Amino acid sequence: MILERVEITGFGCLHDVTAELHPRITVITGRNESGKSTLLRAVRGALYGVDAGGQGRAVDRSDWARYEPWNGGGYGLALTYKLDDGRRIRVARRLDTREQSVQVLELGGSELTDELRSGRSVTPGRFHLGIDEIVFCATAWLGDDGLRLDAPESARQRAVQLQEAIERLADTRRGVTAAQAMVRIREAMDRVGSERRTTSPLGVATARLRTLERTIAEARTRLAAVAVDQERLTTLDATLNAESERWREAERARISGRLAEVASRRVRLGEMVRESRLQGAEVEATASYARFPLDVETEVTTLGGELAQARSNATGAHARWQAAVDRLRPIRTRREVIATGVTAIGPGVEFGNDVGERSQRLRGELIAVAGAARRNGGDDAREAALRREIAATGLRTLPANVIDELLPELEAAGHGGWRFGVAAVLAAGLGAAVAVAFAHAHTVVAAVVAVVLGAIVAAACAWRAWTRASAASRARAAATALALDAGVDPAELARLQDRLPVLRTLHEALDDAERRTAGRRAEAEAVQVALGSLLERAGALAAKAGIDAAWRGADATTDAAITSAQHILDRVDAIVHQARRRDELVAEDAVLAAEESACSQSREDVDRAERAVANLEIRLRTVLKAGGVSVADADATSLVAGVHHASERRRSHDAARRRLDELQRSVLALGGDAATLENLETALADQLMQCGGDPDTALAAEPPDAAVLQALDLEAERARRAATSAGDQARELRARLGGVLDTLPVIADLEDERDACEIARDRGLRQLTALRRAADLIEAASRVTHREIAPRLAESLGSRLSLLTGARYVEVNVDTDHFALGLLSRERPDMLPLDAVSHGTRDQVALLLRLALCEVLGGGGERTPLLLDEPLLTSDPLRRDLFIEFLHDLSATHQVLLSTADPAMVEAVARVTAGDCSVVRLEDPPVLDVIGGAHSLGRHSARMRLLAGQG
Amino acid sequence: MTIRLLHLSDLHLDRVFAAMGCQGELARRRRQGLREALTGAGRLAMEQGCLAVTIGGDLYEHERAGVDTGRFLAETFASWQPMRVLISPGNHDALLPGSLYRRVEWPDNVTVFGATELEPVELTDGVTIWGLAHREPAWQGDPLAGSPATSGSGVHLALFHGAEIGTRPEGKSMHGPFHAERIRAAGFAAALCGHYHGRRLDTGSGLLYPGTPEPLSFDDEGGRGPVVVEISDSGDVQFIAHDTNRWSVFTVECDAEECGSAEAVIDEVTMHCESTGLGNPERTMIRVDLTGVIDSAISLDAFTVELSVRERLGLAAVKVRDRTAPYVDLETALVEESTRGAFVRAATAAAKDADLEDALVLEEALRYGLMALSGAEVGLR
Repeated sequence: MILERVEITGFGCLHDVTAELHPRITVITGRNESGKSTLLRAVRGALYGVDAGGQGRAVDRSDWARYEPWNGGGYGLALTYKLDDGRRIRVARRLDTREQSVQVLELGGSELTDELRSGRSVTPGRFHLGIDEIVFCATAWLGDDGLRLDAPESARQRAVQLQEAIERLADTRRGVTAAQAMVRIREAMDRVGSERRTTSPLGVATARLRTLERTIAEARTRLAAVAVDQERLTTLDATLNAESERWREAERARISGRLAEVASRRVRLGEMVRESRLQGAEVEATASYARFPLDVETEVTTLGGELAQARSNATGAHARWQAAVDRLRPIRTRREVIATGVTAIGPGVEFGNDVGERSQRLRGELIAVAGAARRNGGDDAREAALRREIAATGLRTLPANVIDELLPELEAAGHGGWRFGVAAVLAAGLGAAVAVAFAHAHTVVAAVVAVVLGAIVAAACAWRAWTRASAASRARAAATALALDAGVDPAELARLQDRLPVLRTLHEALDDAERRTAGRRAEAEAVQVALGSLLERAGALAAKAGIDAAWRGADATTDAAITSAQHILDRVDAIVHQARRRDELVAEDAVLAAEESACSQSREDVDRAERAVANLEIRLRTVLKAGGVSVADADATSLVAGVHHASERRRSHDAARRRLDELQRSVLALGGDAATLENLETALADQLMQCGGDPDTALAAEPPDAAVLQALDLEAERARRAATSAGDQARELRARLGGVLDTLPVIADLEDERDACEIARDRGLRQLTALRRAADLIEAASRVTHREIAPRLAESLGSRLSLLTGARYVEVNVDTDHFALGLLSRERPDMLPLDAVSHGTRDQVALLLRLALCEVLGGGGERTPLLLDEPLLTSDPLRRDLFIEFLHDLSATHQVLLSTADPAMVEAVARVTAGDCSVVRLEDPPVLDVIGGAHSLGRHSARMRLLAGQG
Repeated sequence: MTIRLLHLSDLHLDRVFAAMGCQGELARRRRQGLREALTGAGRLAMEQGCLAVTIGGDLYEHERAGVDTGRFLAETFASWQPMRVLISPGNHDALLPGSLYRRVEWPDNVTVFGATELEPVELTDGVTIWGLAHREPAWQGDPLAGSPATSGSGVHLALFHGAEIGTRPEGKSMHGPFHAERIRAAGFAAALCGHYHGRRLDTGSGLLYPGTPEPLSFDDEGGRGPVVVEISDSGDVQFIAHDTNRWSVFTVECDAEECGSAEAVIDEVTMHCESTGLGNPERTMIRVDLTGVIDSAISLDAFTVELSVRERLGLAAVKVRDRTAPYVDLETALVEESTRGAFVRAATAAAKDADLEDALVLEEALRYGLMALSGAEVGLR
């Protein structure tokens, strides 16, 4: 690329300036602040645009703002340049607004504006040179710092600066190397710290987090324990309430019991006092009997009882004597009658008690025998009747067995076959009739069939009738034979055959009656025997009874025998009856005699009783006198009653005294006086009300006994202890909890801090991870980039250096780490570091290095012009000239724009280049000098003067 | 006569606020604010002549609630007598062993439901509250399962902690799932619920979520507070929301693209925070989403921005989410023959194949690397 012309409408201090540029070296000169740097800046601006800020960059500090025209006029510039392929490009920028407008034209060609757009910017420099503005600035642009040949920095420092510059370009295209970036990263990592470094934020957060976790765990444990204790306290409080309530109830029950008991005691005390009064009165009332001897009472009572008994006995004896007297007369009368009767009966014969019984048995047998005798007589009459009936049938002579044979024969003879004969005739007739009917119906076959059938049936019937008739004939013959054998006329038989069944029946009845009769005869014989025996026994019995009644009628009839037997038995029964009657009379007499005797005894009893009464009265008086009791003339009964009364009074007196003593003791035992009890009762009632009880209810209840009271006391005591224990436990736990509750940590505060530490730790770890990752990526990228760039730089630099140093240095090595340069000269085998070479070589190398960078970083674009702004601030003309010579040589391949305020510099350039250069004087107005050879004059502005060949 | 109840839920006493950037004194103030919200709700209930206060669960957080919280609740509820308090434990205050509901001696006007099925409590003649309890931290039962005897006369209201399936917010846990359509079908005039932190009043289905009475996260923007439930003589139920929150949260988005320095970023953030109106700055917490593409040379530190803005505006808390991206001319960087270009290429290529976590690391690494390679101090976030 060869820059040809710069046209400035307004740019910083420059306005309406057009500068034609030499293809090799152009010197831009002017005093300070004349716009030299501004012109060079404008060239850069044309190639790359003017940054107007935004996207994080302040607009007011941007180059666009900085280079606004001082005079406030139009703001714009244009640059014309020629590419290596001969194309001429013109870039025009209007900078009046931040957005800027740009036009890129190929002179003699087309508009290239859009082709050269990169994002929102149009950067022809980037496209044609192949390097962006940052690289351009770092390589092709040599700014204010320039190449200070006599700069105070040491060679070493400058070499280092150069390395750093390359590294910066290679790493970031800005003023930062990868190493510096790594330093930033490490600083950031340092700021974050590590989990182990307790002074770092991350370490602090981590350590604090650990501590907080422990603290929170401990706090939770404590809170859990407190919760358990609280629940336990709640339970204890409930228990305390329950036990307290139970205590109150027990206390109420105890006090109620006591109250009832005291009230009861008070009531009893009152009763006792009242009773004491009564008993006292009784004592006084019976005081006169206090000395009555009680010991006589028993005897007196006994005697009195005996006396009363004796009197009662005497009274009874008198009554009995009177009753006996009344009974004596009829007893005697009766006895006389009895005696008469017995005499009349006479003496009896002694016979055993069983005579009567035996007589009765014999009588029963006699009755049975008599009955059997009567039954035997009936059967003979029946037989006679049956024979008469058989004779009445007229077939008397037919025995039963013949009748049995005749009956079937006669029946069979009656069964003739005439019915079958009739049936045959009918069948034949019917068959013929049917045949005729069929024949009339022209059914010949049917007619034939009917005829045949009728014939068959008729034949069958006829055959049956013949057989029947034959059988009947034979039966008649048999019957006739039988009749003749039995001596019966057959004709008579035929006439009377209907009576044969009746006859058979009569024969059967007769047979039966004959059989019974035969049986009866045996019985009759037995009766006779029995009757004989009975008579004998009856006679013996009569003899025993003293009766002569022997049976002598052995041949007498049965009836006579029976009658005799009855007579004997009757006589025996009479004797027996007599004997019984006599015995009864005798027994009655004995009883009457005893009664008579008893009546006599009664009289003696009366005498005895009267004597007893008298004796007892005497004894009674004797006892009373002995006891000192005045008997006077009172009767015994009165005396006894008096003794009883006195004794009663004496006892009453004694009892009253005893009771009184008892009552007095009891009163003492009850606690003294009623007033005390009343006070006690009142006090208990008050206590009960305080406990929530009702004294009226307690007083209305049944007073408990001592055992119950004791139990109530025990229960109340137990309840009190339980309530007290529960209360103590609750109190103790509450006190312990109270002390703890105030010191409990607030979990929420701790967790807040823990969460915050966790967030901080996680954030720190995340940051560390990202920073480490960034560092790794940067290191890797740096290694790769350096390894790619270093050899290419070395090659580019080496090829040019040899040429420009007259082959003094033939090879260059560029270190891949920090781009340290080493030069290999012909004079020594080892590589020389840059700080070991001369200033001039170092400067040359620096410039070549910039160009090499342009090539390497530009990726094969156009040859980059060099814009050197005040590069040679030196007072060493030799070195200056050497440098200028170098530049001149360099300008053969790379155009050089050089700004200087030093006129000597201008002259030196003119001299070294032998005038083959351009000088642009920036005055007001700026002036262009063209010194030297062919240079086409370009377009001039009205404010520019050509000095060469001026006219 | 109109009957009124006050319904609130999800108070979350003893909650930690580290996620909102609060700890120490600020977190304690927030927790105190939750207690004040409860006492304020009681005052409102009494002013409105409410018969009862119903609490739909998550009254406190079991893992952190201590003795002091139990004492506070018992004393507060006792001071509301004779107004009744009916509590339906939720998943954060489930009826577990050691629960405050078991070990605190509650005053007589407090009823804590204990079964996992709805049980009735007659509030007054004609109004019955049916409540249940979560007895474990992750109960999955259906609160409206079963057939409560709501066929009788009067108005029946359900009180429980549950997740209405149709309107479940993203990422919200599913405890006690149910469908809103089942409310009326089960015979209830309304379901007084808890669990969702956003307020929802749906008289059509009878569903009521009062939301948290104070913001618990930066997502809880806008007015918050308990809801008064009015029951008319005819049995109609109305919901009236009351904004009683004293703390406010906002989320603002701030584009830092035009900012040329960290200071400019702070200024920009400050301006955006002021635009919320602030109200009571001492009870205002603002989350700032910082976006935009900024120059890598700007060392942006989120913590510094938070501190600076908080101090400038006197806010309770400022939480910055740095979502800025470093300015990278990716087109240039991808072809640039330099370490920086190689770095960008390597980071970009690695991010393409990385999983989500690694991609985030690489994104941060790219940011930090570009900052370092630009020569600026690496701003951490």
